[in-house]
Amino acid sequence: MRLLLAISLRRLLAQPLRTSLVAAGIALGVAILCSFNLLRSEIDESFRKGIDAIAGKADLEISAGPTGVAEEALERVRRAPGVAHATPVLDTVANLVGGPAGDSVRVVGIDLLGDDYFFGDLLGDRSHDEAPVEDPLAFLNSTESVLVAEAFARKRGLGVGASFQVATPAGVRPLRVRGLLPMEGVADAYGGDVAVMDLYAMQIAFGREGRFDRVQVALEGEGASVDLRAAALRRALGGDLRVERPASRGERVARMLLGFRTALSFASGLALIVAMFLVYNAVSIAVAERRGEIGLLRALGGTLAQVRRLFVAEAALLGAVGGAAGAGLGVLLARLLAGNVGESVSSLYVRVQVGTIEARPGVLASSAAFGVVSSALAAILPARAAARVAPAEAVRRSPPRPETVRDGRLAVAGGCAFAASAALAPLPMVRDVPVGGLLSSLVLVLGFSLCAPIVLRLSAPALARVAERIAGLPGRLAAQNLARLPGRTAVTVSALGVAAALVISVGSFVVSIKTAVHQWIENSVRADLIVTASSPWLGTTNTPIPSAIADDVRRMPGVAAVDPLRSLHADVSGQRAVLFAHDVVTYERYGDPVYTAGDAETVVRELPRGAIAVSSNLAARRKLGVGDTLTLDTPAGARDFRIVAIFVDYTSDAGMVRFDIGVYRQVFGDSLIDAVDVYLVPGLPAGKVRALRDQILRRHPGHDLRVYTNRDLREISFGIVDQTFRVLGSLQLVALIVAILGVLNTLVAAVIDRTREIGMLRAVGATRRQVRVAVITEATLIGIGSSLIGVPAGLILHFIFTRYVNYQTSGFMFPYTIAWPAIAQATIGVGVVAALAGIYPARRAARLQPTAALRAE
Amino acid sequence: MIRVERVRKIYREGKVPVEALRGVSVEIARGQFVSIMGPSGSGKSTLLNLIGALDRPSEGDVSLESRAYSSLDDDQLSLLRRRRIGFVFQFFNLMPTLTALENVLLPALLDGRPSRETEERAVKLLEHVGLAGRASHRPAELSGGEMQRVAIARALVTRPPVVLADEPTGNLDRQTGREVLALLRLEARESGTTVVMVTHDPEAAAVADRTITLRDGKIVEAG
Repeated sequence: MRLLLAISLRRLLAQPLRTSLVAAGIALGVAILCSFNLLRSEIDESFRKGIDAIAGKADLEISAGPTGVAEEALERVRRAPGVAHATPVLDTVANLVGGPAGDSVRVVGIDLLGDDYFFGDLLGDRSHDEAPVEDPLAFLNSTESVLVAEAFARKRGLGVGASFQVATPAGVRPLRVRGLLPMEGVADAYGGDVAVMDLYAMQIAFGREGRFDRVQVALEGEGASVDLRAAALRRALGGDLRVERPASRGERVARMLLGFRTALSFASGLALIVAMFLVYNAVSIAVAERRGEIGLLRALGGTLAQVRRLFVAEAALLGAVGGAAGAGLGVLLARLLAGNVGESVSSLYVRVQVGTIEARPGVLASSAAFGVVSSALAAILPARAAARVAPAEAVRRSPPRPETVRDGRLAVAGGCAFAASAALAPLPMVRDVPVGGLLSSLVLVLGFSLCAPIVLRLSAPALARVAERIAGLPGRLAAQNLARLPGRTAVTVSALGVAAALVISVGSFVVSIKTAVHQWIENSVRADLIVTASSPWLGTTNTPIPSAIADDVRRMPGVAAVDPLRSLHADVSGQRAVLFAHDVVTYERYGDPVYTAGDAETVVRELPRGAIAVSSNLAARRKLGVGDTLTLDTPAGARDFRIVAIFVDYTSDAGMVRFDIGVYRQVFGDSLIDAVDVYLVPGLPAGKVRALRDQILRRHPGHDLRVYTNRDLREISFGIVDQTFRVLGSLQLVALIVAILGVLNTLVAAVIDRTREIGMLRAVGATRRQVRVAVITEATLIGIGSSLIGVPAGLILHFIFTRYVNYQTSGFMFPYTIAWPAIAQATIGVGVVAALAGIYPARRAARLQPTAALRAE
Repeated sequence: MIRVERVRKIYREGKVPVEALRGVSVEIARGQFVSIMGPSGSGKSTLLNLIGALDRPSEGDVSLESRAYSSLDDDQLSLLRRRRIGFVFQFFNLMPTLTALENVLLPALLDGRPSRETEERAVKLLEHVGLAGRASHRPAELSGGEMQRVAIARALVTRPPVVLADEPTGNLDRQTGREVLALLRLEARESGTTVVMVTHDPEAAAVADRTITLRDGKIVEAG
């Protein structure tokens, strides 16, 4: 084995360019995988750490509906059997005012006087030599006092005594730093962007009088399992309070992010597949070039297994180098993408603070190992081919026999793959993962790859005619070379084809989403102006405001009607969904939402009487229809609501439950709103509209208000779609680069293979330019060939993604829209980049001295 | 016709420079059939490559029909090879993706679309070398002797004044080698072409009008 390794190592070192090309390809594939895994771990950990840090010693958490636990319930919990300690908590993300957009801080309200079991004595921790707060009494006397994590203070240059402003439902409030928390416990959550207030001061400052977000509970003794004791507590407390382990909250968030995570995993899987194509290709080329060496090894007594091992080990070695480099690159890439991913997740799902991406050794090692294993796997087939080389044949150095690729067999295998892909796509999800759709996509890619040699052979004559017309004899030779080693070329074509398919499917998917969102905004969001605080993303990153603002705007000149909206994420039968309440009558008068079941008339009649409407994606995912009921947690306990209509809505892939705002206020006892939809008097001049906007902002200076026009909202929505898919864009780029490395490698190998042919061409009078043209034409034709595969593959992938994968994970049925610009971009793109990849091998070929070329064996 | 003047060729590929030709001068007249002989490493192929404008001398100059190679750039040398020189190599060297007829036409194809006259000539040459029925076959479907005959037809298709052959029989059995040699001789005589042939084989050399013998990079016998 040592001998074999020495042979491989020297071989790899002797061809530094090609070795580095392949290693770079593996590195890029691994980098994508590694960076996505790091981002995922960071987001997961950020939630888990946040929950752990605040839950601390708590065995269970008590919560109640979207508006929190009423103060009265605390005593009930404390008196319940089995409860050793119970403390209330307020926990919210507040937008910072006056800093960069989107900057926020997690504010945690803790009973600083009453609790020292869960959080320790934060005001005068006896375990520290120095208490963090000089004067605990002064701290408790002010509703502005906060302790902030050292990291938060450092990042924003705040010292003790300094103050900063946050947006709260009660308006913009100053908070004064009274002490710094060392980076442990609560302070270590959410990347250190944490501030701690006294619970009762926070109730006043944030307009949450009389309510808590949760009550944390530590159970007595050890005894029976926590689950059993939770069940007992649940029975003792009655139906209006929810009892669960702190970790369940994290699990729900994780489930909500599943769609996003699925897309990332799938995409990184594809990048790795492209890298595997590259390895397969490189090893095939190495086998073809080293037939003599293999023959010699075999002639001298090397076994079949040794020859196979030689090539697999060589690939694994490349995989190790590429994997290690890729893991490092992955950290950089993850850091580059962190902001983008954090913003996407925050605006679409739930607020996250993606802090500095740590180089987690576990993720790095597993990604690098993935590189080694997938490289070795990709080498197995060509290594088997190497072992089949007959010793005599190889030693004789007869030119390699032309490849015998059996079209029939390939066609049957390809057909089977297509059939399997069609059969897999509609399978239901397994544990919330659209396994069928994802496997279907992979098998589809495999099917197209199997058909690549046939496509090449069939298209070669036509390509040859066209190429000859354009580039003369060199063009024709290029086209014929393409079909000469269809097995080898097809792998390159497939890899580039997969990259093109990725560009086309993602591009088309984005257009599908935009088409749907555009149509939806057109029908359902007709307000002329939308007033919110801090951010346009209702329910995720905005700050709620008092409903009095809606009443005030209603009275302003030029306003025809207003529709106050409340939008918040809540648990709906164990899964997150958006609760959305508004003035149904006003909304239906101006808007024209699309109902897939029920109608506007029923909605206007029934919603004010306590019924609900649900979004089509929520109905699809939970198999609900008109006439069914949905159980929701309310402050008065679980309550059933009758569904009277199903409407199309793209606000959240978690789904939406719509209430009339009057009913919502009555049921949930919550008078806050998240936005005011403003309908203007028809024909209001632009100047008056501007004046109205100014007036709204001027009259409520204490609320960090934003006024968006309908067009702003549309642009912002499209912006977030683009931003979300920018992460996938980086992936397309990597897939393309890896595929290009494949083209480069294939052509460099082809030039080496054909050194004598090139020498002969030069000898009989071909100019250097003609040789260059031949190689570049061949590269361009590889690009064109890959479009022949990439375009249909991309369109079908788009179909599988729209109809199955996305529908299953989000319940959204987006229209199947073909994005012609994406197709044009992909086909022209792969042609051009393939041609560019041909430049180096072409120069290399043209530089060959005819005599040296003729001498080559 | 062909003039080689005080040519030295030094290869500097390895650590030690190798002087393959040490000041060789020779003139070859039009229509001559010249064989170059000598042991391995004597510089035979190097001399042939220099005459064929496949390589440039380190010192001295080569000229064909009074055009000194040193005055030509790479493209001009390519055109010279394409139009004025025919090549026959030991290892057949046909393009595997082209048919026999296309291989014969290769130099003309590199010039663009071949004229009708050239195409007719190619067909006639294939007939002459006994491969009329094999015009549409690819190299893989031909025997070694047949491939070499295609190569001879290719070397003659543009009516070049010079044909250079490097061990043209080296890879053929004795009988086939004789036939190929006779063919080369016949075709050259008919068209008045100058032939310069490198060979190891005294029997092959005997066909020539004149034999130049090289040893250690120097001409020891100019015939």
